[in-house]
Amino acid sequence: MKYQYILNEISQLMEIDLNDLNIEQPLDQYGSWDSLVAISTIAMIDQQFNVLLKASELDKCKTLKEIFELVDVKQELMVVDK
Amino acid sequence: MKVSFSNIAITGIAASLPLNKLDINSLGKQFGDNEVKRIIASTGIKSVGVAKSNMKVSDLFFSASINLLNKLNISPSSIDAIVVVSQTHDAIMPATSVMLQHRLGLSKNAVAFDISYGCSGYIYGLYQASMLVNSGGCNRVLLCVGDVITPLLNPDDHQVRMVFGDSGTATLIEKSAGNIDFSLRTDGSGMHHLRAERSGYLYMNGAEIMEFALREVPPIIEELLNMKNWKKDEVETFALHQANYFMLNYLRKKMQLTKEAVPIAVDNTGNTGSASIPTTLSLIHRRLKDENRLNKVVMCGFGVGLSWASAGMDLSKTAILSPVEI
Repeated sequence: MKYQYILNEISQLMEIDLNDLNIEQPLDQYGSWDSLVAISTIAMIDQQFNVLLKASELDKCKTLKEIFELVDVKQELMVVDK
Repeated sequence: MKVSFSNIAITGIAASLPLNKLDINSLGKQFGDNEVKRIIASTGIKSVGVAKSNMKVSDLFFSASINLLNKLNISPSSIDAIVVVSQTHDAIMPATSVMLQHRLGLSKNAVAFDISYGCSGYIYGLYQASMLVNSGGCNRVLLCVGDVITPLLNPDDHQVRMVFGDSGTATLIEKSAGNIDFSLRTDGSGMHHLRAERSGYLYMNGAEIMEFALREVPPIIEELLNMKNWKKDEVETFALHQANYFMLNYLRKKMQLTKEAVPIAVDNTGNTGSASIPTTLSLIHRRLKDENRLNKVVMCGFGVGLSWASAGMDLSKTAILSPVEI
C-alpha cells in the first residue's frame, strides 16, 4: 500500500505512466526526475507518512527502491524513538 | 530566542514594486513550454517584478516610504531612526539607510543603519525596531525591507529565475498601545543551501530548503502561539514568507490551517525574499480588512542563513496601503 501510494504520486510528479516506472531503474535515467520532483517527494512523504526525509538522504537514493527503503528505515526509527 | 515587547505597534505598511514585469510563460522559448507550465503549476508564480538596470533597492524603499509618510501625514523630521534590511544594498558603502536619511529628508538626529538579511529579514527588522523603541531612544522608526534580487539570478538557472522577484517595503513602528512577541532562530550549518558569493549568482538547493521549512516552521509558529496564548484557530491571518504556492500549501496542510487564514499572493510578484510578508499584506489588505482578519496576526519568515523567525501582533489599527509601482 505504502509503496503503491508513493509510486502513484511520483509517477504523477514525473509525468510518467505508472507502468513505465521500474523501481530498480536509476532515477537519473528518467529525464523528468529533477529538483522539483525531489522537493515534491519530500513534501508528499512528510504529509502522507509523517516521515521527513533529509534532502541529502534523498539525494543519495539512486532508485525508487532505495527511496522505499529509506522511508522504511526512517519509519522504524520513529517507532524506536517512541 | 524568545522576547516580548509592550507599548509598541506597527502603524503603517507600504510596498513598492517594479513596473517592469517578467512574464514567466515567456521563458518557454528558453526552457521549454512544458517545463515552464509544469513549474508555474507548482510555484503559482506567473510573473515577477524585475527592476530595470538603473533602479536600485533604495528607489523602491524611497517610493514606498514617501507613499506611507504622505498617506499617514507624517513629517519625515519626526522619524527617529531608519533601519534597512536587505541583501542587495545600493553600494558596499555607505549604508542604504544613510542614503535614504538624506533623500527622505529625515533629521540629522536620526539613527540610520543596515542589517543584512533575507527571507526572515522582515521579522528581524521588526525585532530591531522594537528594541530601538523599547530602549527609550526612539518613538518612531521607519523600517525598509526588501531586495532588488533579479540581477543575482543566473539567466540559465530556471529554478531561481522563475521564482524570485524584486520588491521594496516601508513599515512604521511606533511607541503606542500594543505588543509584539518574537521567536527567532539561527542555524548557520545550512549556509550552503542558499547563498550568493560577492561576485556570483544566487544558488539555491530547493530540496534542502523545503526540508528545512517543513522541519522548522511549524514548531516556531507553535512556540509563538504559546507565547501569545493564542489557539491556532483563533489566529485570523498567518502571514508566512511567500516562498511559492507549493511550499506554502504544504506548510498550511501540515499545520492544519484553513486556506483563508494562510494568504498566498505570489502569482504576480514571485518570491520577494524579506519583502514578501509586508508585500503580501499590501497586496491583499482590503480582503483582510473586510474579513476582519487583522486582530490576531502571526508572521513567519524562513530561509537564507539558515534563519527563521516568527512574530505575533495586532494589525487591526495599522494603515496598510496598496502597492505602488515605479
